[in-house]
Amino acid sequence: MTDWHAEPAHLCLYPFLLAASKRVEESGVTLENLISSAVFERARLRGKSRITEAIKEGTIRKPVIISDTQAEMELLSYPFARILVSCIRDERLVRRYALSEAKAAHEKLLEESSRRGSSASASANIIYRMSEEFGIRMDFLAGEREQVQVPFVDYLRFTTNLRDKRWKLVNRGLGKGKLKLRKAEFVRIVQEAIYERIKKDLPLDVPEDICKAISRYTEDIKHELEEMRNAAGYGFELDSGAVVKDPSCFPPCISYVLSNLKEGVNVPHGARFAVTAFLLNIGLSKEEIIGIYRNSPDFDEERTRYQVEHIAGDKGGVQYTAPSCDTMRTYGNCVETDEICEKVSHPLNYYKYKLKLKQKQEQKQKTE
Amino acid sequence: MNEKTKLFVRRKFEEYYRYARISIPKDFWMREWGFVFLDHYFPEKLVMRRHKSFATEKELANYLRENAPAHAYHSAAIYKYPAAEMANKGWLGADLIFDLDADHIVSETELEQYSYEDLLVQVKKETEKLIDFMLNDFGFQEKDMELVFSGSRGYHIHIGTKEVRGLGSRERREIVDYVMGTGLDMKSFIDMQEGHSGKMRGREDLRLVPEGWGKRLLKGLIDLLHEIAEMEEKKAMEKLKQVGELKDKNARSIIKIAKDDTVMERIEKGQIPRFGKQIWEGITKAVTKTVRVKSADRVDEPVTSDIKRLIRLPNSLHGKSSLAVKPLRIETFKAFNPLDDAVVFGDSPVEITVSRNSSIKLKGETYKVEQGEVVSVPEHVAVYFMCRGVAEI
Repeated sequence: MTDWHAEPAHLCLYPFLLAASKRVEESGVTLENLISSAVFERARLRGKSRITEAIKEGTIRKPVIISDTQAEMELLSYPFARILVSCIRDERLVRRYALSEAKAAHEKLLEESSRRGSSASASANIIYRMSEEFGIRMDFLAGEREQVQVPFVDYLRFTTNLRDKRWKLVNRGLGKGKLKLRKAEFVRIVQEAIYERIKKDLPLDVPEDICKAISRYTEDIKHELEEMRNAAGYGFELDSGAVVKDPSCFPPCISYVLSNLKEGVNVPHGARFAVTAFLLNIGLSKEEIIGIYRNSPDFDEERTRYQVEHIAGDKGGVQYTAPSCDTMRTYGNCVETDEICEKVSHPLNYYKYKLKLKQKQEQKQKTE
Repeated sequence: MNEKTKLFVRRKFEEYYRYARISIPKDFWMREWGFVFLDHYFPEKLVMRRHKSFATEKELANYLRENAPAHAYHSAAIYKYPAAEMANKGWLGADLIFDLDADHIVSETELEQYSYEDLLVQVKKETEKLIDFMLNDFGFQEKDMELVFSGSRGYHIHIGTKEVRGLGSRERREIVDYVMGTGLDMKSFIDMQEGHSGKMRGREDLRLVPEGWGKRLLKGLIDLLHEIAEMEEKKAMEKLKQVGELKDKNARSIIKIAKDDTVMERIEKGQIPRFGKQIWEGITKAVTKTVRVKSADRVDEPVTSDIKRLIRLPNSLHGKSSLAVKPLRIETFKAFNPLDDAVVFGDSPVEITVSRNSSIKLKGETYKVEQGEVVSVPEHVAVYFMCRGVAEI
């Protein structure tokens, strides 16, 4: 195998690889240097932007690497970002950050692994490289470039978080202990492996004085985080910029699922259905709803679209109404109830009730 | 069981353990052990003495000889400190275990109607299916699988390869779902090269992935259509409406397909025409349902997904039946008859007093006893009835 993957210009795109951390170690850059030396300001700023991009976009943009210095800075920005996110000590941010890193790497991997023609062997190489890195025994099917097979044990290690039924073992053609995956599916599993690795020891146990020394970066991030969380509801302002639907009036069960989706936490099917139906019922568009699911760990645009359209009644059926409080309770989706919950028996009524209440209060404030 | 009977059973169990060749599980010194004794609590209250460990085979053999337990178990898991309390054991891995028991295989009413022998026959069929899953779908080697008669109403399979040892609870549940056909989705098996919905829009025939459940589904589809074709129109309609939740119109179209030789020829080659959406959905439902009934296995789920479970020690005795927990080979499994081959006690006559009506066929002979009777029966029958709580000495 060529040594291309050890090139810093390439390695810095996958900074969670063992070879990447080894390289950082061997570079001789000390923690002290990394957090304070002027030489590494670029790495620190990039480290910060890794996290703010995760907050704002749910992914991390991969730069075009044009020089060795830039590659080094990109590489070093990763350990610095880990220190930053550890100092902030916000569990949801940790998840979101890890997921964003994993998604960004996934995208890059997809791109690199789907190259054809003269780069075809490099594209197979990256698949081999990842399978080695994460201990997934994999081989290409004879005479095939697009399908690989893996033992079920390795498959299970990284797929129990993927909710879609096509990932269930029962739905994979399992023969003599192995199952086939399209290359893109394999890369999707690698994303899970990457996510696990990145999240594994986060937050790191960073000494207080180090956190203090880098507080000017963490403060900025906290600010972004705050802003994002306060921003018009859950990140689905309408195109006009106006917030027509008022998420502050959503019932707690719906808000809970939305915030989980936003943080990239996996949400069970029943809860997804409830939220989708609820949002459709109050008049959100399908596009807006699909946008909300974009953060979900197993997001698959086409499937999500299909499901949303189904619930919307586009497929010749009727539009579903959001489940009642009773049904929500039965499936364990009724959470964090408040005093309004006691007055209503349907999440939609909760919303109407609270909207009215809010309008009344605003009226009152105006007249006062 | 009165004290005198208990003492008798205990003597018999001691005799057995004096010469028994226990199958020592791999890495036995890293396992937790648990026992129920024939003590004064037995059998009303089963006191499990667990968190034991043995450093040598001899120590274990002596323990069994001295205590002649009613029930003997070891953990599926291996631990750093097997004798520590649960939280501090230091879990290192666990064998993959399956438990097929009559309770999970037949309904409660059937349980009452079936005789013990019938139950054992039912469970054996399920076990054959499980073996097929393990060998063909999961690709385990025969030498890696330990098949054991449970000593009562079922069979266990232990798989202790390095591969499976590290599997967590959720991964094991996926394996259970696999053998039970839980969450089976026919659509997922449509073979697609380019993107999972790209090919849905083409015109050429669909194919099912020819492995695992895909194979069972295709066979199920063919069988169902043949069955439909041979049925009276009215009955076929009824069947389709029932299993496929189909409207009349769509059920009729399916019957037409089933009777169309050219279409059937294609389907038998694995080429499935692109039916209309409602027909496809009806077929999917019907096939999935019938295939699950036929091929899915009803294992005891928690036994497999619990990574700290205790499981019966092969070659120990089952205190509720006196039968041996008998390790079996797959080749000889078909011929195995627990009511013959798992009997360990002898034939010398023992006089028993029957406390309730019961019957059993052991070693080819049927024994029927009635409450209040005092009868002389062969020792293996006597011990069986005593363990069942049917007779006293």
